[in-house]
Amino acid sequence: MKESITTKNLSYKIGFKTILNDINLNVPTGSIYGYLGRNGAGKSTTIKLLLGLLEDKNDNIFIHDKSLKQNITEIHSITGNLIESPCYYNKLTVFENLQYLNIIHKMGLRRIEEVLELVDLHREKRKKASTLSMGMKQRLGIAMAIFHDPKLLVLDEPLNGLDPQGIFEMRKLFQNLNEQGKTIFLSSHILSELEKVATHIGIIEEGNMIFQGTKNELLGRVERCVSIKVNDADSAIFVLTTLGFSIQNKETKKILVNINDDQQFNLLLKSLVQNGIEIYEIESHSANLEQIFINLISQAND
Amino acid sequence: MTNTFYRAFSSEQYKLSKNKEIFGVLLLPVLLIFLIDGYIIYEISKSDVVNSIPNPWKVLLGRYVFQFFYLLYPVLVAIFVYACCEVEYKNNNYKILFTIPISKSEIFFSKVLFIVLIVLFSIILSYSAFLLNGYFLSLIYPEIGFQNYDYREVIFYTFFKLFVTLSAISMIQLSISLAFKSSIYPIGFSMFMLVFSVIVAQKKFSDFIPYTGSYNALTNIMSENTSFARLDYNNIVMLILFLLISYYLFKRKRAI
Repeated sequence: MKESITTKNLSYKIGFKTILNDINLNVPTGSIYGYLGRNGAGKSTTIKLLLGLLEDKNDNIFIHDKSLKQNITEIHSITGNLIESPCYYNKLTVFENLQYLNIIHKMGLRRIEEVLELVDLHREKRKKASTLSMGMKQRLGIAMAIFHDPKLLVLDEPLNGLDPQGIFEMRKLFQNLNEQGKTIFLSSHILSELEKVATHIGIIEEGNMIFQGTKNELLGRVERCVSIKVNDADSAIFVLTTLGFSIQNKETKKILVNINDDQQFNLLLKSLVQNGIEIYEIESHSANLEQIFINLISQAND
Repeated sequence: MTNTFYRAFSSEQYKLSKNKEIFGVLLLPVLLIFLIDGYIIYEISKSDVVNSIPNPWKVLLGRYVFQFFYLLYPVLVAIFVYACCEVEYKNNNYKILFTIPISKSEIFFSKVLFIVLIVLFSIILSYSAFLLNGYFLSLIYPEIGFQNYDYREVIFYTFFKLFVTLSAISMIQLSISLAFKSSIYPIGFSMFMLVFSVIVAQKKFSDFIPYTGSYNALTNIMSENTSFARLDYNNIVMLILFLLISYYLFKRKRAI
């Protein structure tokens, strides 16, 4: 699979402080890459470096196999971005903000209408950008990012300020853009949303990459566990530990057991029934992105 | 002019022309000339007899207009130049500017070209309004004697030297506006330099202060001076010097 973004041992220092340490990003073309990290982990610095807003002195960033440092203007023509808060010209209307970009990118007036429809801002196109609500400003920022139909979108917290309906619409928009073949590099604190759209995940902690891979790889790293309500918890624990199961937690009549796969789950049920233990309730717990993220961060800090 | 420079200039022109400050620098001087004209008509209409004035272009119109101009123009230019930089400070719009597929150099020079062109248009408008008002007064009050003096050469050179002065001032203001985000520094500096240049206008070293040029415009029109002096050459040097300083400041700007 070709890569849209590749970094080779990307490091960045401010004075003596290391902000990024040997980051090797591999963002496959056509993926939605969720970039996660705590505040101050180095996410925004990475994004600013990827867009050439901060200088990578060692020429370690490659966008579509081209050196960012040597082809910055060409790369800017195929990259759209939204970094932290949206950027727009206050004194210009919504339409004029896009017309400003149209003069640069020569996409035509139809494209302005098309993008306004996509982000649902067509009714506000005559309004001054400064008078828009926070969510609408965010939509304008996204409209400006996608205006020139870029191959690669780099979005830092694009869901900030959007209401649930807006978040849903943006998720659909990102998925549509992705289906059109665009690569989306996305950083967001709303992990549940990221889990829904991302195909690949990268996790950064204190400037170090602690995970990179597909979302399924990440979710597969964590053992499933089942919570079982039985008539005799002590007997159930005895049976299961004899068979090598690991018990995570025990309440009066409830036990939490780690399992690796479906065969183990089947064995667990069979052995409990064969030993005369009555089962009242079974609940499967699969770890979500938020739990995995927190676990990985705490492991990295141990 | 390359295609990308044309796009850069068109986009800058589109964006910056939405600033209200642009109308200030273009129209306020013209409005001022018309107001002075109105004042002259009002004064004449009050008196019973209209007397002939020796060279009314300088004694009547020139004196009033340039007394206001030397105080007004540098401040208008400072406000306008700051407004051209302020659009990028708001919402940290340098993030837009530095991620469009146009080089920083082309963006910078298109901004400079736009600023200098607006100053030029402003001077042309003021020059035209000045001549128009003189001819208008010569028509309604031929007794004053505007038609008896061909003062066009002096007026042209006075306005031309004022343009050179304002171009140099605009580059100094651009450097300060790029160096400081707050409007206090560029506007405050222009006000201070205006007062300072009036105080030191008679000193020899004042030739090295471009802000003295606007005060000297009044002296030029009163003394019928058409020659280029040390101050004017110095203003050209200052224009180039501060253009380079501004370029350096713009190139090292980061959208963070």
